[in-house]
Amino acid sequence: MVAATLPMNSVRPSLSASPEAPASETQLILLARKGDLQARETLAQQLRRPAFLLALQLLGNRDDALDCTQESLLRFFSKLHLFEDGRPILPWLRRIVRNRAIDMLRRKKVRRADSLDSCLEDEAPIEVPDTTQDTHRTVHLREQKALVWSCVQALSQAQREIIILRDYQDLSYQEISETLEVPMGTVMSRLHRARAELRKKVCSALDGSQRG
Amino acid sequence: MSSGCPLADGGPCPYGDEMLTGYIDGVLTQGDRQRVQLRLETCERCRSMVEELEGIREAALTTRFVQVPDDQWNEAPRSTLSLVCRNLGWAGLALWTLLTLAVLLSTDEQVLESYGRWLVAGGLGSLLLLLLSAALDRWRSAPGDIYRGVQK
Repeated sequence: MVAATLPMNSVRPSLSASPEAPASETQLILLARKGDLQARETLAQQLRRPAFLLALQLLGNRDDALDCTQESLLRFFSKLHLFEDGRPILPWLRRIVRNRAIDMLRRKKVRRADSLDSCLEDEAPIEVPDTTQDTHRTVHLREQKALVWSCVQALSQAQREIIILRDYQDLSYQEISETLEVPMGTVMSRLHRARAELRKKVCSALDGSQRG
Repeated sequence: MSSGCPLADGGPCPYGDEMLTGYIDGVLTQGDRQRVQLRLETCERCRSMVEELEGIREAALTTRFVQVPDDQWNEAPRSTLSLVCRNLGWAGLALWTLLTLAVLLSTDEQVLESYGRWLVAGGLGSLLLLLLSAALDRWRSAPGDIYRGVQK
């Protein structure tokens, strides 16, 4: 069972944004809007990593994620004059990336999903303590993460995106509701259906691997 | 029922599975939360489901994805104008190739005389657009070029 072997106390930096934009962010946007190249460059550097991460998770392919990120950032800068002052950037960017990714998926402009190893970072050398037991445990955890990720890839597009936004991006229900442009009440029911389906897939994958 | 997942064949919880999702995410009201906690004390199926879903969520939260090295971002166009120039340049070149082939295959000599000048201008214009796109990218990346200050 997955729950029995996964640690519950690990910490991960959240990509969710604060309700209000920090002052420096607002200044950067104002400068970028006036055409300040340095401000644009700084903004692009700050935004491309979270944008790429979301695109990679939604599309499952590194090259597609690069294309999606690049096009999303271009769109972001071309529509910067429409951005409301004082609002945080990330929710807006997230919506742009998500819409672009869906557009690519609809037009079948996506390559085949990459193998798991090319999407997931190899974390074992950093996390493994120098004992045989812990080494086995960390390798086992990595396998479980890869298994869960492969099951997420097998979900429908709507289910995959809500799982990614909640469980991989760690967004709040409010942020998910803004990104998907659905009412808050819909988020929980949709998320539950997606989780139930994911759990079913993980269970059958675990059963399959135990039989094999 | 399988050994790896005891609830794989179970039906929906009569007390509302959605509440369990809300419980895991900590979004329930205090009253709902207490109701779920009471339910978890007596319902083995619900307890296992919560544990499994929490395990899956934890696996997702701790998954790390690859990142792109900074130098790879410079390969693509760096501004809208640059992207427009590049797309127009390639579209122009494609059109130019087709028209050139059509003119060359044409047996009418007057066609070449009439359109020859336009074909040359079109081809050169497309190439200029591509060069302009590259120049714009170069201009944009110049301030951040780490080798800029290196003396020969």
